[in-house]
Amino acid sequence: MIGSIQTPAAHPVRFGGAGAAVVPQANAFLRNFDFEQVGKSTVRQNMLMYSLVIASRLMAAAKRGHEAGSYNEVREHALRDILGWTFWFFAAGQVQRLFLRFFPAKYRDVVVQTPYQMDKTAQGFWPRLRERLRWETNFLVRGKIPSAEQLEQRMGQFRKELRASAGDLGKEAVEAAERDAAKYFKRLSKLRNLASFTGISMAIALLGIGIPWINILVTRKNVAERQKQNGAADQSPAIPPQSAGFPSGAFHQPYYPSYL
Amino acid sequence: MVTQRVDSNPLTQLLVTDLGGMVLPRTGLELYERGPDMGRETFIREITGTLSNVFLAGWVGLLALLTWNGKLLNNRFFRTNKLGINTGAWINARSMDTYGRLFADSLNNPALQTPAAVRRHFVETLLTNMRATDGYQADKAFSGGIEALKDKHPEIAGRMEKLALGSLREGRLSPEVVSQLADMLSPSDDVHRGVYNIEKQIAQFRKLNGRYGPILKQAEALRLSDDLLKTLPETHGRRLALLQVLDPLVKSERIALSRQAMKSMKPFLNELTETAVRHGLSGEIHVLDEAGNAALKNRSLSTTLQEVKFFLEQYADRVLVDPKTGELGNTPMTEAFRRDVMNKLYGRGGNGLLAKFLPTAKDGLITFTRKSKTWLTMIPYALAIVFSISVAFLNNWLTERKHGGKVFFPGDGVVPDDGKTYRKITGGEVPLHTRPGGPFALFEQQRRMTAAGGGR
Repeated sequence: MIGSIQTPAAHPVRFGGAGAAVVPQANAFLRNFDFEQVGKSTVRQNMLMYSLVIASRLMAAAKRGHEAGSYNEVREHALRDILGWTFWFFAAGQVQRLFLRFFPAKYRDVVVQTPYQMDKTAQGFWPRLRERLRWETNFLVRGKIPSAEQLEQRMGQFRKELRASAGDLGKEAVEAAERDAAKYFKRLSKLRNLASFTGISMAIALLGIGIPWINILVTRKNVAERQKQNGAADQSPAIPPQSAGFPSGAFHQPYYPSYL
Repeated sequence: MVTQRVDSNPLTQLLVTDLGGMVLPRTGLELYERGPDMGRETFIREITGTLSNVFLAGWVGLLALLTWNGKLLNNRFFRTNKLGINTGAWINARSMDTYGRLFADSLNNPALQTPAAVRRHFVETLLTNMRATDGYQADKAFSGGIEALKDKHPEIAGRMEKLALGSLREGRLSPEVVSQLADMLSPSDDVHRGVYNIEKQIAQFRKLNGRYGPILKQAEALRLSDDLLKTLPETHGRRLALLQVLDPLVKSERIALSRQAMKSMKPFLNELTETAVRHGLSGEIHVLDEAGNAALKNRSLSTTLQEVKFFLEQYADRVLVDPKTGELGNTPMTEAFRRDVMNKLYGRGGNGLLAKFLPTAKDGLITFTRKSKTWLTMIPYALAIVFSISVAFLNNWLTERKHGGKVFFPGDGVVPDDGKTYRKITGGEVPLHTRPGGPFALFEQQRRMTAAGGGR
């Protein structure tokens, strides 16, 4: 009696389907952006958050650019942040797969799982090429790399099975075999760590040096050009033309806005 | 190893890439190349980006959660947690959908007669449907390991080859291990082990307090003697008074019990995870639904097992047990019972606009949790978004104020460049690409040669 009070009988739930219960699902917002652990944001959340931040930066830059009559800042933000978004979330994994692609299949295929299974019975040049290309694309785009923890756990499982199956051969034999097996697994985990180091450092290089450099150089060129135009109009160039950026000082162009 | 640590957690990886790839080099480069204004702007932009993109939502979420269950929003005047669900025992929305669906399937399975059988079937199905994400790789790794043994230890390699490593190689649990784990996940009276049977404690709590405690307090308040009270008939009014006093107490007690179980669950969960890992699963798993599709992808094994424990503790057991004893019944379930259980989980308290968004006391447990969680996720998220959007404007305002409201993006300024402040931006005296030995030195040299040759 008392027990039924805490959850009083509500309106009957309407279940669709015949026999099988179709239960209502959570709303789309929750399904996509709910936390997985308390206090830790998820990667999906980070993605959405960063794209909103980018939108706000573009808006602020457009406002300032409108007042200054130039869109250098908007262009900088667009390039830096949109590429930044892509590289931040995807570059490390992509570089890892690209790096691992050049290792022998014996190790590579353990460290990267390709969802597409190549059809080895394909005959003829074109079908074989097609299969090959499909596999390569799958490897590079969707290949799955296990975590270092997972590789270690697999090694533990192998060791356990080895001990169980060869226990009667004596301690020394088992230990020697274990050492040899461990060599193989260590090599796997070294390869994985190397790939992950390469991926992260490449992502850092792209994000930290590549993108800002492009921005600085392009803006420098635009600003110099613009000042040259202004200077020609005022008959008082702020900077001598020969010290301007990329375009040669002797090279004259009709005026155009820098954002074009 | 450092790389291993960085790579094992996506959040750490993002943090390292952000600090190393965005904050430090960009600030340095801008400061050196384009002066203090750009340096400051870049630093503020990137460091708040790190904060808001990586952490902020999580932190504010934690704060919201504490408030939700805490005294501020959950007191006698204003009760957010009307059903006494410990929201701190967090279950992800997709996980909840999956568990709920599997549970409803077990419940409506005509072959399962008793609540105990339903619970067992649910747990076993869930565990059976778990697949390690590296199943294929495990297979290859095992073959590779055996291959490595073949030269020096042919006998051991032969034996290993003959072993039936089915579940290990496929990255799933064998039926024996599934039932072992299901045994571990059975209801228990011990806080430290198994799924804590909160319902049993609640039944005892009711027995102790319902009969005497609050009623006596009420009697005191009404100046009725105990003897007189006992002679009163079980009237509707008296029952209502009893419930009014008892109900909030039971709810707080539930939350307290759940928190107590959370505090001491670590060793048990570790043991559970280790057992699963020893027998075929690994740190990351998918959970398949009844059709064999991945309902949950790339989940951490330990978090998933923890979620299963929370789900059993707070939802499955709560609706399945007999509330008077707190034990799972062994009598066959009636159709009405099944319907009632479904209502207790998925019932909707009303169809009005408010009832659609606000959790009410009449909601089913899962419906209630979903509504609460929508707020618990949405509010921190909105706050974090407002913060991060305002940063860009704040940044511009700071620069503007420094220059008396005139200078905009350096180089595009309303104030003309005096050739000193921003000389590097316009490539003034010593542009970077002409520095001897700089990255563009060769390019610049060629340009000069072209210019000197009369060129264009």
